Amino acid sequence: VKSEEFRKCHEASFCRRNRAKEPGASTFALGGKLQQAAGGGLSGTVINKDFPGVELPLEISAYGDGIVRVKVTEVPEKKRFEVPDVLDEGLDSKKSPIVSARSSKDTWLTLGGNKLRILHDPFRIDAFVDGRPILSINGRGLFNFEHYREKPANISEEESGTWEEIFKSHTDSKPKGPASVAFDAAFINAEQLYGIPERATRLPLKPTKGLEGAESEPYRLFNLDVFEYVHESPFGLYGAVPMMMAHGAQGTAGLFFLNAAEMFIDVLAKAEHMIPGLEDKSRIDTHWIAESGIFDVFLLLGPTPKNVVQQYTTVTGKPVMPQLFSIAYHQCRWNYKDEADVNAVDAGFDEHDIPYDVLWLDIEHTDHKKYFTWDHSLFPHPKEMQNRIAAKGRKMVTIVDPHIKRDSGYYIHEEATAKGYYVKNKDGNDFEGWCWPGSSSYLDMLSPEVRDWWAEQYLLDKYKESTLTLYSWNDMNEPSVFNGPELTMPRDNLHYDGVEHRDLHNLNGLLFHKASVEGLLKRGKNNDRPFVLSRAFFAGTQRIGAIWTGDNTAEWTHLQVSVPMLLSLGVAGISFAGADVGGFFGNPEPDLLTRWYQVGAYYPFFRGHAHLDTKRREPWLFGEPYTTLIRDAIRTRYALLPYVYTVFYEAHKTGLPVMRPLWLEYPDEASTWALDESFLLGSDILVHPVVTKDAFQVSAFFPGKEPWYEVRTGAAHTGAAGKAITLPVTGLESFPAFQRGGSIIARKDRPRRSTTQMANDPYTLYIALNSTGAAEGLLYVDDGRSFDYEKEAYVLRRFTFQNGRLECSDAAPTGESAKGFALPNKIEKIVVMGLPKIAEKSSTFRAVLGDTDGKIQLESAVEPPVMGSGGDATALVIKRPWLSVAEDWSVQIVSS
Amino acid sequence: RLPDVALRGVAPADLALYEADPLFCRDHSRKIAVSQLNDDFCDCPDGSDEPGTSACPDGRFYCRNKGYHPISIFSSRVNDGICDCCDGSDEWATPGACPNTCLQAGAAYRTQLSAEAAAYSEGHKVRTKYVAKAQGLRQQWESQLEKAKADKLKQEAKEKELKARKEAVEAAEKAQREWREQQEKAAKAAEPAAPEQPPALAPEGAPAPPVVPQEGGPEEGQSEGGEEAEAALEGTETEGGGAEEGEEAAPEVPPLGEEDAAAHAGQLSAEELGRRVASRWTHNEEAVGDVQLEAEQKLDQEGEDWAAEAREEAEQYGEVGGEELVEEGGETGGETGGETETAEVPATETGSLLASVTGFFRRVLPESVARLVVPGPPPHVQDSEVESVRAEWNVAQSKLTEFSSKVTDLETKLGRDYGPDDVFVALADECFEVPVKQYKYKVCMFGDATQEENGQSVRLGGWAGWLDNYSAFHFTNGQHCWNGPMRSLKVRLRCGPKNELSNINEPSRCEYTADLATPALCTDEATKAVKEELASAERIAKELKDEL
Repeated sequence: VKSEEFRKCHEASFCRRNRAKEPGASTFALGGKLQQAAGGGLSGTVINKDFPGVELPLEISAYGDGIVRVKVTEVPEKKRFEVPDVLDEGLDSKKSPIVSARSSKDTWLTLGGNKLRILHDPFRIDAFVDGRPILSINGRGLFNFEHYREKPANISEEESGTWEEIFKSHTDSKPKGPASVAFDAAFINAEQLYGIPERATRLPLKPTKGLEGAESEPYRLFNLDVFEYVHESPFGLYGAVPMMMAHGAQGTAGLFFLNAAEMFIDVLAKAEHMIPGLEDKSRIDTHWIAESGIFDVFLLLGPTPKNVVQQYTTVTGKPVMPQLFSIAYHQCRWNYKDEADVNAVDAGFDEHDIPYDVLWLDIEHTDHKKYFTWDHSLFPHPKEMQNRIAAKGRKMVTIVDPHIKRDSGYYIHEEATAKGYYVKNKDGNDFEGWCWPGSSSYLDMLSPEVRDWWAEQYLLDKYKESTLTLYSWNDMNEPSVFNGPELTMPRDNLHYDGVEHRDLHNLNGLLFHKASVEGLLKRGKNNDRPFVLSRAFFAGTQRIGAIWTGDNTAEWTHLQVSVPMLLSLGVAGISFAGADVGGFFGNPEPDLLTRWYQVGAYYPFFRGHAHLDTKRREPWLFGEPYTTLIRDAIRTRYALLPYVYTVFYEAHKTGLPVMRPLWLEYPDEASTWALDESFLLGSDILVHPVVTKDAFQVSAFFPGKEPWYEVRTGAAHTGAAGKAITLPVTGLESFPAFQRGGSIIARKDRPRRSTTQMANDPYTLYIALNSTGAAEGLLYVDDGRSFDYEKEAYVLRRFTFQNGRLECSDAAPTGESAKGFALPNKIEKIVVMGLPKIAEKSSTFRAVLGDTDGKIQLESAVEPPVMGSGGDATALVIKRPWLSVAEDWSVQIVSS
Repeated sequence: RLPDVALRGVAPADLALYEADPLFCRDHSRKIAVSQLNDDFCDCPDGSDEPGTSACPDGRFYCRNKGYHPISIFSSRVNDGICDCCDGSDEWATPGACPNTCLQAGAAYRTQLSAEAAAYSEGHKVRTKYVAKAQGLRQQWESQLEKAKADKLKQEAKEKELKARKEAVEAAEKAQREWREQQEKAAKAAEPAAPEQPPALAPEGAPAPPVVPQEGGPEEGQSEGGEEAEAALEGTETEGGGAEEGEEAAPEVPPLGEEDAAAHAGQLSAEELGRRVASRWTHNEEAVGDVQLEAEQKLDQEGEDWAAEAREEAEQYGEVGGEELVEEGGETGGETGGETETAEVPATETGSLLASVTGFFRRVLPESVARLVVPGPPPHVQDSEVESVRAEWNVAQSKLTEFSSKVTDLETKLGRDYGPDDVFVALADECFEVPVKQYKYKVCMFGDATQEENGQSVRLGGWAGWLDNYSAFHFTNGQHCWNGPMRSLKVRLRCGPKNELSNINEPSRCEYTADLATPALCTDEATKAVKEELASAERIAKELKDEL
């Protein structure tokens, strides 16, 4: 990374101006009375006393009790850019009426048990949950809305950079002048802040201002292609979600700033400047500074972390329901060179009995980086190749990047040029930048027409020699422009309807990703769930597809930071994410690669990838013990897929992340708040990853009061009241992952070539009892690929265990489950871990089928929970019950 | 007798295990009942109770494949909807899902086997010749070695004698020259403004230095060597520069530096800037990026450092190893196709010669300056006598070198591992070539592997020995790749009627692989095995035909 290549706050006039502002009385005030607005909510104006006559329209809306939107913009004639395609389509219909009460100095809004106070002068918003203040906007008077203005004849020195700004060799013409939007937000009684991905740092956000010693850069949200990024840097990377969550003993609150321009955010080390009326409250101050756009802020009132994520995803949409194959293992490399290479890698997995689902082709598969084409000297028969892979139930992915080669023989370029679909430079000509193909132009995805056209390029008759088993990958969509300012597009480039690139920069990747996904939807006649991996992202990307954390490095520190990076994405709604297993740059030592596979097996998105210059590292190339250990890691993922898929379903329904920080599930345990090395997959699997070389122990915190059972051996561990314990790591095969006591997980323990061959395999139920001998779990199953589940073609089963009785029942809303989807699978084994007295030799157990008066006995034995695991742990293993998952039944365990 | 279902997927060789009473898992970890065999539930940790189902993770399923040949597949393949056995037996749960294709497979297999068998017998014949040739060659080398050793011994005596003579003559000459020099110095000292001679320039026909540097030959050779060395170093720089000017590169533009990126970027065209940034990811020769330019700058810097160090070292030891610089210099060229390995060799030698010469004069000069006053002329020595003695000794010395290296060569050759039956002796001096696109790949047994393009050669590596029980060999430490490893090549061997290099590949950057078909691999055993396999395949076919 070359940090001087990237613009710092002091080099950006909008950030410099706002950051230098001293807290104090704000010049902004409410313009008049708030009125009931058409369609719900309230409307009014905000005025800036420094600029009489400028009236900024204000709108306040509520969506249920927990979500408040405050929007300040300019009059429509001024055409301030408002970010499209981010908010959930159904959000408007969720608007709820607001009861308001006005006094001379403030207006109180009531939202169920929550309240909002709008102070009139200065303009300020305080949010209260159950009477407790949790959030205050403009308490420090840093609210700023630079309205569009006439360019002055003379520009004073302190205004330098307002109408033209130079960074390195690039000049930004800034025809619209200063247009920044900024505000301060105080999180009352908060103790930790999380969110605002993407950066390679710890999960809890450290302060950037008011520190002892050197001042840090503020956090930056500006999507960039950062070459060889380093861990532990506040630097923004490929994607941006301007969403923050604050958590403390008194509750959780969130803030989402819907603005796609470059943004800086300061987190203050200690509260600065009293906020009248809130003097006695401890708080964490933040300062948000965007270059342009409007003030459009969503207050998410919690009160729990789960509530905040759910509120946030109510605003920006729930995560996609992925195809089953796409949450299995992916094998990628820059580049699998030719058809023989593809066949050899595919055969390698089969020879070593390692499952995988998707084989990826990077940019070299194309004819001179012209996407949607093939280099026929290397790939003479792309269709046959895809079909060969598909014959084993596997899929392929080809890369499709947003830079279009300026080549007069290239149909995409010719059409895009003829139709005027490219982003324009400030002079109105097609912008030309440099990327992989050389001179390139960039499609203007802000235009719905361009997106529709782009989507059509994915149709089988357009994308020559593609098949229905081919999926897609959008890289470089920040966009990466090698010769542009900070390796991206000039801010004064022009998009659809005259919108400047600066206004939508952080949205650019999402728009491209969305257009590609629409393409796959069209191709699949709206009944094949699209899979497109993207590098750039924005708020709302979770509705579109998966992302990965970009070009990491084969170093232990990068393995380590991958966990907080993914956790932070999950907090900000983006569930379907992963880091390149093995590290993109450099050559991992076999132990690092092995550890990475072991951690990666629990990433929501699980893909091995490598740079062109690296040595081959397909899982079997390092000999023993590595091949076996990597095989075990990948097989573990496959065995857990029924559970992981169920967690993805939960995410799709509720917005809760697939990969979760411990505090999300245990918000009251203060010792979890700063933890970001361990994580939960769903609520029932806890992973304490080994991310250091030659580790012989890890520090493991077991949240809650219930035991946790090792996935590998079934051995039980219990947390030591708020303390981490030292867990020995006995060798490279030892990887600490645990099942929560109180949960039931359905696994498919038979290894297969890919998920396709697992469809009819039987399940094994792993019942991990809590201290009261109870457990519960869900299993969601559908066809794994279509949208039929939206038409009730799915099965949702609940397993409960209580008083020695296991019950299998329908968990879907009445009548919905199993309509149009038959689940033939049986249960081959039931493992009950944690039965009282099971360790005592004298105790015996019998299992009988319920409702048979004990007549039908099931074969069972007290054995190690996992065959061949070699541990001391024992469980009651019920063998060959052959019960149908789709039917209701019960099994009673009798102790004698 | 067990029911068929219980024995599904069992290899005939394992039947005894399954027909034992009582039954145990293969690893004896558990006792099992007959009813537990193939009941689609895994009881044995080693998977032995489920040879015919997918219930155990690491089990094996045996297909008879009547008409073809039996194979053993992973139990993960059983009833997975994909036909793995040509008799369809792995998909027994869905009868008819996999038609029996063993007849066709068997026919194809027999065709393939008979072709293979023919190739093996032909190769085997050649190999027999190789083995015989190897014996002869080895004896030949042994007797050559004996002779070379004797020659060397004789020559050593001769050289020693001549050296003594030469030293005597030179001693006399030296005394004479020193006297003359002192005379001249004295005279010069008398002249007030006489300019000093630059010390490092050895004048043509100058008298011999009093101390012969260890490594060098006669002083004339040395001074020439010195000039060559300088020229070679300059040449390296020039060629390095030339390399920067590769097709699309812009060498005169400095790299994207740390602080001055803006300034430099300002001078770059947009296209060049894009190219350079792209090359960070690719380290692409076409697009010279800052990484490469930095590396080159570093190289230049190292060159200067090296030169300084070399001077210092030369003062101490009178010689210096300059390989590192020169090799990397050669590298630079090699990357852009401008430099070849042949250019490296003289550069290396002359590099150290230059150092010797420089060191020599540094050391000699103060001494000669110091001795200003010496009495009386020494006895006179004829120039022609000095020259003839020296010439004789030179000849004797180079002959000795020749004999010594012959001895070393033969000892190396004889000490090498030539694989089973010494068979690769027959190929000891062979090279194999294959053209691929614009390249020609050349692999020399026990020598080097190269990739040639338009007459320019990139070294893929030097012989690094056998791999995988003589079924492969490899070449390592070839020319460096930018930001990548040193090039290397692994050659996999198989039996073939003649030596044929094929299938050149580069699975990882600059790590090449190739296949070499060679009669040397057509051993008795292998040939026999193929013939037996063919016979057995034919027997199976006949039995099947008889049955039908």
